[in-house]
Amino acid sequence: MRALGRPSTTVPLILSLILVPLTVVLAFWWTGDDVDQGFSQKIFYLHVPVALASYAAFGYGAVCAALYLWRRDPEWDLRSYVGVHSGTIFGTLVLLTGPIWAKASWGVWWNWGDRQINVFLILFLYYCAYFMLRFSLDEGERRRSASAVYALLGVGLIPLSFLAVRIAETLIHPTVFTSSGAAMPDTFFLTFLVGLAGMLSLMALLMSVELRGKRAAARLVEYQRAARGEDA
Amino acid sequence: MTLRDAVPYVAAAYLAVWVVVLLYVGIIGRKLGRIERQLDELAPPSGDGERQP
Repeated sequence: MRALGRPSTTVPLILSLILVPLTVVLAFWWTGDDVDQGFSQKIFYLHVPVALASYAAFGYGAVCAALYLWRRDPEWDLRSYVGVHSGTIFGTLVLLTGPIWAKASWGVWWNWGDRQINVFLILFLYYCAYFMLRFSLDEGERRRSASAVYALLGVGLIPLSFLAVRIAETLIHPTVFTSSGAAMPDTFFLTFLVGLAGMLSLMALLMSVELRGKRAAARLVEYQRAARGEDA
Repeated sequence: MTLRDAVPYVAAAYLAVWVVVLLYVGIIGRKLGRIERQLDELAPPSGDGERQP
């Protein structure tokens, strides 16, 4: 396997250690309570950045999948897998924090009539099925190609999920970011941006650590094969 | 919803994220540690620079 370059863990680690606690400090001690939602709005600084980080991870997985199909380098397959895996972990967080916020703010855990949360659930389940597909096939070119095509097809759900809230115009899932800017005070928006940068850093850190683990595992298999006298 | 009513929900959301992230880091860290230990045991001798004349 040819290495494309080792992703740095130092920069995302430092950024995560600064930005994530800073988000908590800003959210609880700097921004005031929202007029409509009150204290429960604090979940916004966690839930929305986690959701956007999840979209970014799925997007990264899809881009790497496309690069694998183009270049046929197994390293891109590995990166695509790590992207989808991280997206699924962050997607789990979205599905944990979303219903908690919904219950606190709107009195319901889930609303089957809301298009955005339903499209996100479909996106999440779609990428959960990626692992079933991947691990149902033997390791090799066929598995890598099938996984890449599947990861690439799912990327279409990301803009659909993002735009659904704008298309649906439901009251339960209000549109905060519009073409005229963010519909919130500057302190709220700045805290959100810090939270988003923190979550993206955390995601980059987790992805680089997982990628390092996957590369080490691949090297281990090669050594084990060599020790048994098999061809790599 | 009053502040008193909202606190458990906000705390639950923040706790849920940290529990999942810490679990993920713990699992990945344990796996990585195990793989690196196995690699150290199996790794072939390193490059020429370390060979004795």
